[in-house]
Amino acid sequence: MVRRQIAFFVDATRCINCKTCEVACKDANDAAVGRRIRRVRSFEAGEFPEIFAYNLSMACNHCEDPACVRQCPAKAYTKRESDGIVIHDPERCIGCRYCTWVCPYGAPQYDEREGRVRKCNLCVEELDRGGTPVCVSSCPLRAIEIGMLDEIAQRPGVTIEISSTPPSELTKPSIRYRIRKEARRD
Amino acid sequence: MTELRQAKEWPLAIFTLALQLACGVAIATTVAAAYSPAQSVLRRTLGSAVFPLVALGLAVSLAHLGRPLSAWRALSNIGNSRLSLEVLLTSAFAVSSLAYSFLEWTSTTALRFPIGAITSILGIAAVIASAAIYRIPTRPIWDSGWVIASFAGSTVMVAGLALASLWTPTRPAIFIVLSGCALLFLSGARMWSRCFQFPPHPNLLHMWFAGYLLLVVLGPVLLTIMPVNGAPLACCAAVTGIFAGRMLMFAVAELEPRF
Repeated sequence: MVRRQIAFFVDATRCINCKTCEVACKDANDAAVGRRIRRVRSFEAGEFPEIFAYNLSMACNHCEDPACVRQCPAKAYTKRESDGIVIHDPERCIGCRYCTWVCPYGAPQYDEREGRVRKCNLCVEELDRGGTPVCVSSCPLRAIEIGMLDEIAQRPGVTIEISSTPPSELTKPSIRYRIRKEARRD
Repeated sequence: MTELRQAKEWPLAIFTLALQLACGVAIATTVAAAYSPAQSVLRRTLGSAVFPLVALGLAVSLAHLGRPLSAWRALSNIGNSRLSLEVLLTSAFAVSSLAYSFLEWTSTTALRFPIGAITSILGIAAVIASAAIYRIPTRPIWDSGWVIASFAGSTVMVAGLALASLWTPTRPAIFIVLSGCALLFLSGARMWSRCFQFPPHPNLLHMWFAGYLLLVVLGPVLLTIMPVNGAPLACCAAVTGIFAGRMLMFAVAELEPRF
């Protein structure tokens, strides 16, 4: 039972798709070529003349009901009780890639070089030392934050229901966005 | 044809095919032995082949893993993970089929039926568990129930073809083959129709689908035209068709847009 769930807050109205968070994450995790543990996706929506674009920076969402934890046959995933961080243990991973199938957000990335999966562990060592994840500290627009889900969810204008993302009821992702209202599903 | 080139899941295609072949053959030889206990060379050969088929499937499935030497860890999450359950049931099927194949190989009649029945039940459970792996909402093209129909159809068709080879009166066997064929055809046609929703769908994909459905139908047709000697040819057509369909199943999942 998770005592208090940690969560990401991403202000998509600030994000300019510079991909600094992506590069910093890749560097910190020594991710293989083509493997993006954090990814900024760009979407275009609306109908002419009311068209718009927005960017979503996303890594592992440390879901409240994570499919990877449930379905990993090797128990390589655990959800930390103190803050709900979903931690992947590469030593237990057998490289079956089932987590890459079941995760709606494409968070686990299979590394052919190592024969196992890598994903965002929310820079947990840094976090335990009182620091912040590299995506948060590297964002030049200060568009990414971490905090407690119950507090972030109370912020005005935040949502998890975005038309371009998978339905949140699948795994209950611990992330909230501030985004223009036309991009929302709710 | 990037999608088909990207289909890196050939070990899973071979594994699921071998599992269904072994299960179908185990059912057919057990039923045939129950109705006509007299020993036959073909039944002994087919019964003895059950364990090698499962062992081959399991061995090839290791090629799917990034770290095959840690494969034993796949049994760590039996209570929650469908993959763990599949590995457990397939392992149980392998152990039971080892006993069954040994009895068939040595032509031992004692305990052959109960062990054959247990092997068949474990085989069916393993096939169902392997189909359940693909019921995941993140892959809607698999999450529609047709994968279970396809896996069941393959098993039933193989069982029917093996019975057609073993039994002189082939009518019930042809009925079983037709049932399996119908399941395979319907599931294949449904998968094909879903592909049109996700352009681009290259011509080679359509040709592959047409070939798959043709091969699946060819089995029962050959069996009907040549009831005495048609079974081996029908088996070849069916196994080739089922394998082609399985490769398509993994390839079409790449067509579907994902987040």
